Amino acid sequence: MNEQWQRDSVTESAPFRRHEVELRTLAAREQVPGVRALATELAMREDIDLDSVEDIRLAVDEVCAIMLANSMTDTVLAIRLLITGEHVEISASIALRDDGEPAVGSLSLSILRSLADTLDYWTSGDGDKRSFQLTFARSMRRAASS
Amino acid sequence: MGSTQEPRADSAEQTPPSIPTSRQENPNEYQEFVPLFRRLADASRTAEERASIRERLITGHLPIARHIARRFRNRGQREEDLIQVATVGLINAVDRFDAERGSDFLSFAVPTITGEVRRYFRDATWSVHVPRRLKELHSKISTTVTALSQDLGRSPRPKEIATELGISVEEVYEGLQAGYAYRSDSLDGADDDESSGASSSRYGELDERLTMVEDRETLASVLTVLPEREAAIVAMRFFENLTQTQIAQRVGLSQMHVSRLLSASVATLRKTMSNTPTAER
Repeated sequence: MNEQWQRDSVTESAPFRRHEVELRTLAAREQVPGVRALATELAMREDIDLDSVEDIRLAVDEVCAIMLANSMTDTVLAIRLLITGEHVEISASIALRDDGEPAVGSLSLSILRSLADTLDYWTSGDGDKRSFQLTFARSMRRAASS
Repeated sequence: MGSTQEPRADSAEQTPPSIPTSRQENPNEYQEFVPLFRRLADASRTAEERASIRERLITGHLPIARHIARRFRNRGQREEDLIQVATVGLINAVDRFDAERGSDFLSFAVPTITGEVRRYFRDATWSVHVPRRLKELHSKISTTVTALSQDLGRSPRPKEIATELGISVEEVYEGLQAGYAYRSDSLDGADDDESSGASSSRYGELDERLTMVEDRETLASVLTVLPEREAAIVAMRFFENLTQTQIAQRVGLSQMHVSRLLSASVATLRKTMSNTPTAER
C-alpha cells in the first residue's frame, strides 16, 4: 500500500527553475487553503496587482479541485508554483486511479480556461504508474498593461 | 455611488429629508408611491416609461435602505458597502414586489433589504480569530484599494498600497493575507457545508458525470440558480473577462465584495452542478 501512494509524479524529476516552488502534500481538501496562501504570498511579493492575485488564487483552487477529483485516498498531490511579475505557471500532478480516464469537471475547466493563456492536461505512464498532470500558464504582462 | 448624496426627488412628492427614525411608525410617508407600483406593473406602458417609474421608486425609497444599513454599522463593515448592499436589496424588492397582492410595499421591502444585509454579514464576517490590529489594518487597506483602483483604473499593487498608506510593504502583505483568510473561498465553503456528511467524494462524482460536457454551455445554464446580480458578476468575470475591479466599478460594489460574491457563487455552482441530473440518471 505504502509504495502505491508514495509514487507521486513526474515533477519529481523535473529540475527547478528560478523562482519555482514545489509543495507536496497528501491530496486532501484541508490542504488547499495552505496551497492558496502560499500562492498568494508569492504573488504579493512579486508585487502583482490585486486582481491578478485573486485570479491566481482562483486558479489554484480550480487546479486543486480537478486534482482532488481524481485522487485516491492517501495520494500525494504535487503542485509547483512559478510566480513572477512576468509569468505565472501552476502545474500539478497526481497518481491516477488505475482505470479510466481522468475526470475534468466542466466548471473548473471553464474557470481555468478563462484565466489561462494555456491550459494543458494529460496522463502519462501506464499500469499502476499512471499519473495525471495539468499545467496552467498565464502571462502577467496583459494585466500590467491594462 | 456616493453614500453622502441625498436621494433625488424626481417626482412632485417630497422625499423625506431625514431617515425614518424607527420602525414603521410613519408608513404614510411612502404612501404616494403606491400608485407608481400599479403603473410599473401596467403592461401597456412602454419599457421606457416603466424604467423611469422603477427608477423613481428606487430613488424614493432609498432612505429606507440607508436606514436599515445604518442599523448595522459599527459591526466591522464599511458603512458605504452596507448602504450599497441595502440598495441592492431595495432594487430586488422593487422588482419583485407584486402590487396586485394588496400587501404594502414597506412590509415586503424591509425584510428583503434586511435579509440582503444579513446575508452580506454572513458572507463577510471574520470567520477566524483575527487580532484587532490586523482587522484595522485590513480595513485601512481595503479603503485604500478602492480609492487607488479608481485613480489607476486597475487594481493596485502591494507597493502602491504601502506608499499610499505610508506603511511598510510587509504590513500590506500581512493585512491582505488577513483579509484573504477570513473569506470563505469556493472550496472551503463547500467543505464547511458538507463536513458532517460522508460526501468527501462529491467532487469526484460531480466531475465524472460532467466530463466532456460542453463546459461553457453548462456553466451558462447553471447560472440561473444564482441570484441575478451574482449571475451577472460570474458572467462578467468568466465570459466577458472583466477584472474584479472593473466588475466592482460596474456594479457599484467594492472589489473585495465582488471577490467574496464570486467565491460564494463558484461554491454554489459547484454544488448545483453536482446535483444536476444527467440524461442517463
